[in-house]
Amino acid sequence: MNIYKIIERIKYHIRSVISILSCFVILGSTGCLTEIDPLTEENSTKTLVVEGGITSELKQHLVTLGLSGNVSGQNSFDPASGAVVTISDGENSYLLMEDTKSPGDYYSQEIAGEPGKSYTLNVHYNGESYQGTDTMVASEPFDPVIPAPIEPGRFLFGKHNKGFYSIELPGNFGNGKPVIYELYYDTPDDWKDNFPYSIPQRFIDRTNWQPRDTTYLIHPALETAALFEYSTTEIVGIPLFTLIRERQYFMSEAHYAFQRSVLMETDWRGVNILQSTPGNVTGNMSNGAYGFFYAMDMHELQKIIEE
Amino acid sequence: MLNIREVVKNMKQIKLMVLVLWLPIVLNAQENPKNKLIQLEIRKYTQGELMQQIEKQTGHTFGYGNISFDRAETIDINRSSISLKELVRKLFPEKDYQISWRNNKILIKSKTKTFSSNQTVQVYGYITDQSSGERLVGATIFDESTMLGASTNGYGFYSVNFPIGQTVVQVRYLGYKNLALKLHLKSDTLLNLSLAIQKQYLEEVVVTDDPGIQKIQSTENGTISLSMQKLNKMPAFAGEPDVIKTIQALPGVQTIAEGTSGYFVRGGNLDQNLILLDEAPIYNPSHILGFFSIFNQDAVKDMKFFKGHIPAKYGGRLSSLLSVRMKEGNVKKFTASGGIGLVASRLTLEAPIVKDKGSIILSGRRTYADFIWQTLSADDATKNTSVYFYDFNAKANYRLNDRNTLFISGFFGRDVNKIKVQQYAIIWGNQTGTLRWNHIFNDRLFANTSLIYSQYAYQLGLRTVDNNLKWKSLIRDYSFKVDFDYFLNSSNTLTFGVHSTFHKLNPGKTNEAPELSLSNANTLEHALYIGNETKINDRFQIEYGLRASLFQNLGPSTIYQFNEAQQVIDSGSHKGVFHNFFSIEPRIAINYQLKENTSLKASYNRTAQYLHLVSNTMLPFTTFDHWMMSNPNIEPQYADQYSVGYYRRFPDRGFNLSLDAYYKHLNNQLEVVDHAQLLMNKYIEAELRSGKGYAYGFELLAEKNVGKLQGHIGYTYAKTTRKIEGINQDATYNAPFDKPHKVDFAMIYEMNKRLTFGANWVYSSGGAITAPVETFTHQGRTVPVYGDRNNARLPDFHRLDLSMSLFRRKPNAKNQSYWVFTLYNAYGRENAAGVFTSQELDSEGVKVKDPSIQKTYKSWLFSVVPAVSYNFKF
Repeated sequence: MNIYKIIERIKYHIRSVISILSCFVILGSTGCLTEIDPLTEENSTKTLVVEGGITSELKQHLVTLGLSGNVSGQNSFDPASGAVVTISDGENSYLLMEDTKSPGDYYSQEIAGEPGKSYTLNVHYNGESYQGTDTMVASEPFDPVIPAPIEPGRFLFGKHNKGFYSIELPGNFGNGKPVIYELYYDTPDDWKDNFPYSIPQRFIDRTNWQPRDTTYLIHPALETAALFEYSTTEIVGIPLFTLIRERQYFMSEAHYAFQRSVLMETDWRGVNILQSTPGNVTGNMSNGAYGFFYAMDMHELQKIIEE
Repeated sequence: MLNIREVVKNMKQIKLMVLVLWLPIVLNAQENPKNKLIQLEIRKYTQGELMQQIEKQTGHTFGYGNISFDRAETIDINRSSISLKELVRKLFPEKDYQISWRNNKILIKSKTKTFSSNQTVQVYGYITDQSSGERLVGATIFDESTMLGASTNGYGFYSVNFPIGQTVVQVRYLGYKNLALKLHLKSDTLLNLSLAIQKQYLEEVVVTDDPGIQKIQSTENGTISLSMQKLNKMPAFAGEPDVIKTIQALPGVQTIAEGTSGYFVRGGNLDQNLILLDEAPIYNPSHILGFFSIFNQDAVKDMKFFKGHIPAKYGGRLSSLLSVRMKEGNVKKFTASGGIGLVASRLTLEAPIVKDKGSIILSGRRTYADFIWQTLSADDATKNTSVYFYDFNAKANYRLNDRNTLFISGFFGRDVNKIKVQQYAIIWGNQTGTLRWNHIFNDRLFANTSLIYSQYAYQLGLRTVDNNLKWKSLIRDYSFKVDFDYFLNSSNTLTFGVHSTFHKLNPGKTNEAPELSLSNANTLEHALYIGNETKINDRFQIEYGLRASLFQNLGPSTIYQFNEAQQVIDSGSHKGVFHNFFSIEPRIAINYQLKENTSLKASYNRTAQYLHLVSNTMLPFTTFDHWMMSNPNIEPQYADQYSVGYYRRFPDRGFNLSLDAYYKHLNNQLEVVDHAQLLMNKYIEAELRSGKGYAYGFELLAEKNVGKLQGHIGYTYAKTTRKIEGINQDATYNAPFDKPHKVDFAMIYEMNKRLTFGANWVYSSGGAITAPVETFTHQGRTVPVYGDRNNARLPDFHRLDLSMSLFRRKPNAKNQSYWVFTLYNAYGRENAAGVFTSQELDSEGVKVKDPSIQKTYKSWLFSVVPAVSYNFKF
């Protein structure tokens, strides 16, 4: 599964923040990061960690079980192997089987969740029982993305702007509905042969310029801690006749709160001067387990870029 | 057998013990000036000759109260050395004269004649700067014979009882030449006075408190006055002297991170500091996320900071008051001053409107790094980024007549951050306006009437494909207040008044999505106060007062009700005044003068606060902080502070020493839950928890304010905790600004008339921080799991700043110009702004180098920052 934002974007934004700081210090005496010893003693409790859920797509659904790890050092999180894992909707119960090649990964049969229903994950591991419940919020229709022609002279494109577009994310700022939003770009292999305009040199020479399939977390409100981390508009080069597939996974309030907390403690922390006060990420699993078991309804749209 | 080494060792110990035991006695003997020996010839002297010898050999001077004696009368001296005390007694025998010793002054009074109250008159007026006409706050005026006196109030006005008849009056103010006036008083007299600047003083540049004697004699404790003139040559970040940064360095004041404008006073939160610019409240004093404050050094006249006893006149915040006054403008002549620095340049113009009647001052400042950036940068990202601030101060005054003066002043500041790459524009700023009328009703009653406007607003602009989104938020105040000073008699000064403020809070609205806009919160805050500063006797003074405040919520407004799980269960719409809070705030401060140069002080303060600042960032004043009003869901904050102080002055050595201890109890302290959503959240009250705060500590400050080498060293021990239900599993935890130890050192060395060196060194324990104890993985990210809140500490903080001021001409020249070179963080200490854990990063701290390894990093802002500025005045 793709991560929510492309890593290059994050790096780019971090650089921007550092550049802003350097403006005021003029002589380049800006700060940075220095490795230090951990401030507290390690206290890994090897607590169960749950990641995964069920969607409205008919497919094998994955739940990954692992154990908590140390704060520093080798970043290995042991899998929780040998657990008994089921998903139930109150009427039916589905047993998930562990992948023998990938310990800790448990797959269901091909099943599809139904909007409006509540689903419960039951885990029996090392003599302990854990439960987590989420309700599948019904998806809503949404407007397809509107690729806007790149304005002449705009960033990256110079005067070679014909045939390239920028994409505004659907309401990243104050959308009101938290969704996981996935964008897939299917660019025809022969697009250069049919491309009616001159192509910027930088895109001819580079092989990795094409827009990447990406996943975003769309926030219902303005996030102070993320101000330098995401924007409402993605600027990508999209040739004519590219097929754009959009998927929105609608989240419960608890699920969004969990995802947002994870970002606050990971991507939005670091050199970000607007980072939030540290706090624990609270999931929906019982008996002290970490992580979240989700249930999400998905809605998909497709659009071909035409002149 | 006795070992010779042991003998030597024992001898050393004995010597040390003798030294330790005798040192206080020796020091005591040295410090008692009455025992000083006067060297004389054995012969007859006239009284006048002997008094001359005393003045010459000891530096003492004489003051007289209704006595008559013959200076030509002779006295036999039959010893070559005689103590000062004995000689004075020879001159003025005990049976006829009463002798008082005040500092270096010997006061002689007749025992046979006293004044009755009906033999006095009232003298009143303003004391001003002779060259500019600026009114002087805290200047003293006293009668030499009776030592009756007073100091000017916050508007430069004084009123004092003097005896009828001929008298000599002294007028004094730190940095100005003393003025002695012979007066023949027959009736109540309006007497406006002006003092000339003591030119040498321009070279005395150390940050100091009030003159030591005032500290000893007044009830003020935890109060510090600073003049901008002195601040300008201290080392400063990027060469820009800053009021707030100076406050942050004082004992009892803590910060969370370097390079911010927020500060925490004696365990109080960030929002518990009332910051006034010409009496208008400032809600966010920061430029560029706090690297600079909004106070332009050229426009500021002086400031006074209260962290202990706060007079009943002031209210609305729990922990401290910083009152900054703008210059009034030169009523004599046109002057210009300014400076050019690496970060910003500034220009100030002053001119009379009508000579000696009114003046105007205009002062502006702007950064220009954005110009340099856009011109020189080759990188598109930085080239298209526009980050700058500017501010503008203006003030005018006009003296209608001897009894009426009008003032009008304003401030306008704006920060702009446009990051075109990310389609963001973040803009914020403060605006204030003050219209004041000073009126002298009669010889005893003075009034200051003010109309005040203040606004802090921020705006976030987002450019999208087909439109521009704007999110705006503001807090705005309209205030009216009248403050009276009534000089009842020489022992009592009454202050009383009324304040009323309309607060308008717009937590946020957007043009594109009205459903996300939050409803306004309008409130009224009123206060009545009365206080009295009374002098019980020569040693004992007391200041007491009472402030009564009323806070009213105004409709239309929607108030939500929450259950125990903080879920909305109901809501109600309200109109008109729908909720009231009433508070009584007693204040008392006493001063008992143990000796001439030693005093004990104590105070009790109760304060109430109805406005609250909530924030979920680790940086003070982030632009997006959220101000909230007390309402049925949010109780007002209250604080009770008890403090005691020991003050001592060593006039011979030029040292002042103070030791203050305090205990503070705070109620209804707000804290946000983990990962609180504060913006665009109409149910924001569900994200808040309320509880208690506790703070105690002591502050030691030693100062030297005379000589070529001046400075101070301070030490603070402070402990601050919070106990809030729903936070940290209801257990007590350290406040994030809990930094138990703090040492600050500042010095100025004036090498010669043109060259001055300055140094600051500050050390403090690391701030309390919540650190992870284990981690788990989620979608490829490593998520920290934290222990108790603020369970760890950042590494200790310390930093050395150096400066050198080089005058092109002598500082007292008519046209001045000087260079200031500063080295901020001279030894390049990487002080932690934050600590976090992450997958192993590359050397730039940007790319993940090895995702399989987890490490702890500290982020830091500044290494060595050299800067230079050129300053001028003509």
